[in-house]
Amino acid sequence: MAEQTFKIGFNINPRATQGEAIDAKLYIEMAERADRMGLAYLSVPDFISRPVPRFDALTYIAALSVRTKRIKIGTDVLVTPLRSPIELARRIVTIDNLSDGRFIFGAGLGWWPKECEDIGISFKQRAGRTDEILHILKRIWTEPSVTHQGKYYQFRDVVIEPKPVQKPHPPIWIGGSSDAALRRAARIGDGWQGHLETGHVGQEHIEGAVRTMEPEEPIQKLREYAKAEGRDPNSIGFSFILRCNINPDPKKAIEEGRAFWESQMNAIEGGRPFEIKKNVAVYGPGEEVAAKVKELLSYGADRIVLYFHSPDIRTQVDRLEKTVLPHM
Amino acid sequence: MTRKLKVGIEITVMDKVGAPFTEQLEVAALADDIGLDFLAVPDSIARPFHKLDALIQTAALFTKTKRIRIGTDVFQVPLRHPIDIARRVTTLDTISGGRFDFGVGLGWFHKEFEFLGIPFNQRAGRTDEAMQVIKRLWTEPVVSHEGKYFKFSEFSLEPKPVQKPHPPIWIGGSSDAALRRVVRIGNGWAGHLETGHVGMDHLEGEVKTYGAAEVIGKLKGFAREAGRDFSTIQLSMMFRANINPDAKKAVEEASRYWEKVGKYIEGGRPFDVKQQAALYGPPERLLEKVKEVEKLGAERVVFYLHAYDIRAQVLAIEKYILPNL
Repeated sequence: MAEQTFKIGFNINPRATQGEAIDAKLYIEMAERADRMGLAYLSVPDFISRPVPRFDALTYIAALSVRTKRIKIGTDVLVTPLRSPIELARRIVTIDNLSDGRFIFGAGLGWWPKECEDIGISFKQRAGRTDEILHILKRIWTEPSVTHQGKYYQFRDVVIEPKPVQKPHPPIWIGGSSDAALRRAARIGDGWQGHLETGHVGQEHIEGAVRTMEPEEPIQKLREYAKAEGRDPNSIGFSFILRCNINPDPKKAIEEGRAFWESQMNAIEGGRPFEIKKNVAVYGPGEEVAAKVKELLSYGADRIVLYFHSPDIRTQVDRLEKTVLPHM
Repeated sequence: MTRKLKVGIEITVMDKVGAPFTEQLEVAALADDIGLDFLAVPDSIARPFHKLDALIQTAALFTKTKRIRIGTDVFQVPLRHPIDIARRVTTLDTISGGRFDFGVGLGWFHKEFEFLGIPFNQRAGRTDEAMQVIKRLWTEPVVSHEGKYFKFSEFSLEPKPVQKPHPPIWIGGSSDAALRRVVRIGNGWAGHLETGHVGMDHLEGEVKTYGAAEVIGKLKGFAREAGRDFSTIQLSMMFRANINPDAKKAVEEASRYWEKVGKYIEGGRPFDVKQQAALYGPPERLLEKVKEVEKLGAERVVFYLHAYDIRAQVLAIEKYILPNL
């Protein structure tokens, strides 16, 4: 087993062609390999009701946790307002116990209005519900018995045992790249799970202008908002997502990245167009990917999370090990 | 192996703080090794004892076993949204390569419903509607639904379950309503021989125990009334047990387990009711009961072990029960 831990992770999103089964064994094997090669993190996105073949995030993470020994695994990000806080607390505690404290709770609001509608939750309430849920989770994870009278949730004397292995609770990393997300991270997060694209398009709504950012922009804001909350900016971690396709032939990398993106029907990653992706992603040889990872780490990021824009995770993980890690 | 009757155990909570999973994973691996057929996992969201989330736990157990089937006993459907349930179960079915049994129930612990803001008296209606939705999501490419409790349009759940048309649905409970639901929507009945709940904060129906012939006869009657061929309904029977050649020790361990944990999982019936339907002691009487239900058509028995040392119980099943079936 590798001694070193690289500050790199990847998104282990199980995929399949529409109408086909997901090859669960492949993904478990990829997780085991990531663990062995000394990567820091595996991230799993969450979908309740989107038209792409996906697993339930927490159920899938349970399986990955048992098959790995030291890598951290987290949601990136869990669509928090669609869940009942008590059940969510129990599910996360179970994973935290199962993984012996390797779970990172990446929390987000969601951005797909239809997903909220399908579950019967008002899209407009998603920020308010998320804040209330995160507040409840923290209490359930740390207090012996909780009574709560909130706007969206009310209950008396709820006891959830066991408590999490991580104390006081699994770290909560807030996802999203809007100002509101950064403020939420500064207010209640242990970290910000960042990326450098902002604004949403497609899928029946537009929210903010779609653009890319330089890393300084969100980092600066996060620090500023933390200070305004009276928190030490250094106590809040951050990470960046890096979209990539690792291929010695840059042309092929871009082609595959584009084809992959189009096949996802924009149902992931905010549905932003490929031209935006291209600005902040790296499609090319391992050396280039390594250089970009190092550049992003130089801002003080805790880790960089690769999102493979490729239908072939096995090849990407191979190339990560053989052509990226040697340059780290 | 010539044994026809399938044998399972309930993997329940162990009242130990620390590393509960390690022990459960080991017990699951042992059960898989010695050739047991089934592990049952109970579900609780917010009952006041040390408990893990049922489906997360099931996912973990699947990755540590190779052939044994694992299922819920039973999953409280009305406390969740059907789309969420459908995806979670599909995930389990895929991860396990089609080894998941979906045990379904209404729940009975009032407080759990209050905590989640779901009216207790809607639990039957919600379950029926949710199950209808879930079956459609598992089998139809695109589903729109407009019901009393749930409403959504043009949703496509992918992937579909590995088992076709979907994982078997086992309905739990032994009330008349539960038996009728088996006939209406179940692939099987996850039966046991007690009914009525007491204790905690509500009383519903008379607490009593049944003979297996009586309750299976009732199920047959309901099937006939509904025009469903009884032979298409699979039967599984659960026995509460503590296997120990020393009968006194068996009862003692069972009662300790019952007060601390069991009553919150199984309906809060008093321990003396348990004792009537349960089998605590040497294996002979248990074997007799098992053979009786096999004759009545059961294809599976599940031992709900009222014990703390589950490993010892599994080894007792291997030693005393399996060779005699």
